[in-house]
Amino acid sequence: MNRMQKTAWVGFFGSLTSSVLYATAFMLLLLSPAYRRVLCLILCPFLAVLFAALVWSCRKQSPAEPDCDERDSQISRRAVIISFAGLCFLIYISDAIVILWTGVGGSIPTSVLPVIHLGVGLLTATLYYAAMIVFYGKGKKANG
Amino acid sequence: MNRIQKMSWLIVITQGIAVLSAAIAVTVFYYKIGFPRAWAGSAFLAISGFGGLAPVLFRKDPGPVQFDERDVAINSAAVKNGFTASYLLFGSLCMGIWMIKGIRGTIDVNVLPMIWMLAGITCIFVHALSILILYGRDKTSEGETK
Repeated sequence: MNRMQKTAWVGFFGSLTSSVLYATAFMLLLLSPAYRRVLCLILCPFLAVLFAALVWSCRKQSPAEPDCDERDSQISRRAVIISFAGLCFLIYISDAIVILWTGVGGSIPTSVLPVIHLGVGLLTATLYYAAMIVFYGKGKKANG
Repeated sequence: MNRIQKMSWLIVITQGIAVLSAAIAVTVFYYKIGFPRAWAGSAFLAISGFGGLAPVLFRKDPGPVQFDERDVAINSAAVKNGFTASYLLFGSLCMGIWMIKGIRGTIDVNVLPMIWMLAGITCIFVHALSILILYGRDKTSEGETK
């Protein structure tokens, strides 16, 4: 695996786990603010593991490996476009869920907006790294 | 100018006129009748719908090659610019409303589709504008008109 592939795997699992933790934290805090300590206990080891994985992903296979070649750039470009298209869909879905939950004439607390923003951002990052992993996998199959 | 440049000009012009007209109308109505009725001025945003006629108004370019690698590269860069701008606007609006209203404030749920619509309009506008700028830069660097 080259550096970009390792970064894609770390990024995929990191952003997916972050999304799950974020959703869990949101639901727990809705139940009771007393869960803050539990969340800190979960968050600290997760951040430590993520940091270690990022350090691992930054290591090159050999000194001769380039930072980014043309194939990596092309894969990254395609993955960005797919993730942005998914972002539009995610924003639409999140808005629809909120409107269906409250009803058309309802009101929502303003704290829902940053929750939507961050949640959609994390899921978009997951989609980006997943797209990169799929494209690298397709390239490997095509090469034999 | 090729077909995509003509379509981009139409989108930029119609959306520019739509946003300016809506902003002027809302401002004038605000001073005359106040909010929330002043929001009726945002109906001028419907002018941007004329940009949707672009594929019908501008037919395919003559010649065997409609869309070459350079066009693909320019369109790809423009798409990324459009999506980036729309996400930045979406994030700014979400965080801005949260900061202005405060943690304990509430907003009408109908604000959410307005934010989504504004992000969509921004995406299309920035995409079209980026196409025009990138083709213009390409022309300047080549020194000749395509």
